[in-house]
Amino acid sequence: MTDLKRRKVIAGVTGAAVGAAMSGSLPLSMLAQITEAPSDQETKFAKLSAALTGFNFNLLLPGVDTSQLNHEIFMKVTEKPERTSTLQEMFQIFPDPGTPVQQQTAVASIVSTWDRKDPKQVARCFLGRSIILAWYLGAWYDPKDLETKTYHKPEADYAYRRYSKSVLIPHSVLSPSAYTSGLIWRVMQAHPMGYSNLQFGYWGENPPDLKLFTDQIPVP
Amino acid sequence: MFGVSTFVSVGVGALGLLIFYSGSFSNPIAIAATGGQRTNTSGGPCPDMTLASLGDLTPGLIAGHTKLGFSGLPCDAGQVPTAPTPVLRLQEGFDYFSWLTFLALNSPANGGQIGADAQPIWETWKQLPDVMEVGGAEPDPWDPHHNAGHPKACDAQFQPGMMVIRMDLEETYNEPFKSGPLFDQNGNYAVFVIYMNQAMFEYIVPPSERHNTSSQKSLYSIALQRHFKGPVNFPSGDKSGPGSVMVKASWKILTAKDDPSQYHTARAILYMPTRANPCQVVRVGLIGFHVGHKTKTRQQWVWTTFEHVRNVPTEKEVGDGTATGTYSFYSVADKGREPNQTPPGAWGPDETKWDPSHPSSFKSQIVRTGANSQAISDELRTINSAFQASLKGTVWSNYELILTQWPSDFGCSNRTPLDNPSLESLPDSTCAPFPTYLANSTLETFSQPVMKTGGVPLATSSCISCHNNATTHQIPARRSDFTFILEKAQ
Repeated sequence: MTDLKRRKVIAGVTGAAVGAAMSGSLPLSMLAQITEAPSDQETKFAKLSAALTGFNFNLLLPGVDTSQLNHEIFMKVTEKPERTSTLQEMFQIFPDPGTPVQQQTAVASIVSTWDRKDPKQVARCFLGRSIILAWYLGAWYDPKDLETKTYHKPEADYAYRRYSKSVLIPHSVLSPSAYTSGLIWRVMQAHPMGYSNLQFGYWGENPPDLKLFTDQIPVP
Repeated sequence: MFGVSTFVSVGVGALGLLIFYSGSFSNPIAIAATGGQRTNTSGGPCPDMTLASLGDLTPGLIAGHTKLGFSGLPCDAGQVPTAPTPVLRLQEGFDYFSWLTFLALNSPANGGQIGADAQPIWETWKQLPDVMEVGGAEPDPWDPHHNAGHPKACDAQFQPGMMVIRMDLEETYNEPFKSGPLFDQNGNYAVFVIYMNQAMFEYIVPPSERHNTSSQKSLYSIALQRHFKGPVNFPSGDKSGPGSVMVKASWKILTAKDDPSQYHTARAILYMPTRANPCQVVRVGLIGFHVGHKTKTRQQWVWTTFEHVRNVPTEKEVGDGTATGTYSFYSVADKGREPNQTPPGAWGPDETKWDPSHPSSFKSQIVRTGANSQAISDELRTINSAFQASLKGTVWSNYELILTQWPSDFGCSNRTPLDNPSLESLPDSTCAPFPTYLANSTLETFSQPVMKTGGVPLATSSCISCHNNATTHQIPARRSDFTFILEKAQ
């Protein structure tokens, strides 16, 4: 995936790999997905993501999925064979069907359990965190980078406190659509710079209820 | 064929209904046999039009809609879900709705059958300058026989049935957000006109409020917009009537080099007040056709766009060498030229000293960019071919549906400000338009999505996203329900 910086995304100068079309700001390879039903794997991935992010499944994978964000993140996760097998392990741990409490307990355990003696556990932990970040920020933070940079060596503490470039975690914006659809904006009850679907005059009103941002609007 | 309860139970999650109004679904053939509503006004009941699948687009079915002079706008175009995926099924349904709308609006204003070229119903509607008059003057009442006004200077040239093209108004020749004019291969401007139907007009100019300069319900002047007791909420189409419909049409000025038999044509007055001869009579050919239709369950409106088949080639056709013949806005001989560039220099007809007898030396070189998924391309091909075949031998067979944009979050799209005041604060008041972007190569020429590098939200053409930001004219402005018409008030 082309390395996209946020500034470039907003300026409209994007990498060649991010093809767009009338059917959305999506690579051509994803266009077919719009008219295809999501696969079982992608549906399961959406359920896992719902538990990881705390957002409603129907919001992450709506019946008419115009953003295809679930597909996009799934494709990124499974880009490498080792991540695909890690994801399958997560699916095995993740109870489906299961109650929300059961599911959230399972994923909380995945992303917070990190025993260096168990490489598979480490892989699951940081892949889970990569998935969370992909949904929230629309950017891909490689699990390996998360592992390295998050838990830095003691001698890097000073550098960390100074917020030097060496401790910033490398990442790439998945796509303009992923950026503008990032869950972070919903949590903030706001919108990315240069893009808003809120109605004219919204700045003069209280933000919509947080629940409207994070949950599926019920059909009357 | 299918009861309402059966249909309602089908859907995915919150999708529920495809239909725009919960009406009954009868056999479409039976409906076709009884014909649509013949009416020259925009009021009247809406016929149900149920399509089981694209395979049902038989000549007989379409002929029933076409040949009986189907002039009632569809409020209800349902589709039984037999397509493989929800999105494709829904897109087919909306595209079918768009074609029915095309047939209805282009049925002859005199009530005859759609066929031979004739003045269509929508050309008898109110044009924008006849609603938002100079100085905020009160518009004349609705009269489909006399809705068209004309400048006094054109008294000698104007005849009933003529269109007036106001070249003194920038929106007549400059595309949205001043993105540039479009010149055809003859060096003439593509020109744009906006119409609204009776329901929309009478929301802006309520008959009961005529001559009331303190009205709180009128919207045709800046002063009255200040008094207006909002929110702005145009009538929605339901079983009782089609609701608000607006049309934006693009035309080319026909010359001796053009074959008028390939276009829907109209006689028009080209009004250029700074010229010695301010009112020139010209013949114009329809090249682009936008329709915005507000329905009860699509409060973000349904957005339809058609083009003449010989406007421009697609990017793919240029790339694989299959772009051949004559196009209005593309020269095959000049294919090495970078496409979709705005004209240089000043853009206005007065600055360029343009008139039909002194055309511009600049000719736009335009291609249709972006791409649909294969499934949507196939569906469009099927639906366009079916309807074009039914219109074979008429000028109308030379038009094709580009696509329909619709709000895909059905849980969101059927709420109104009056029903739920907090709607104005919904996180996505566009209710997830699909497709994300949609452009007409003659009307949003320079903001089309680009296949290789993508689309930029609010910079790339999207009917719903752009119109979501429409407001009235007065300061402070208020949201104007997906139309820019109100900001033209004087």
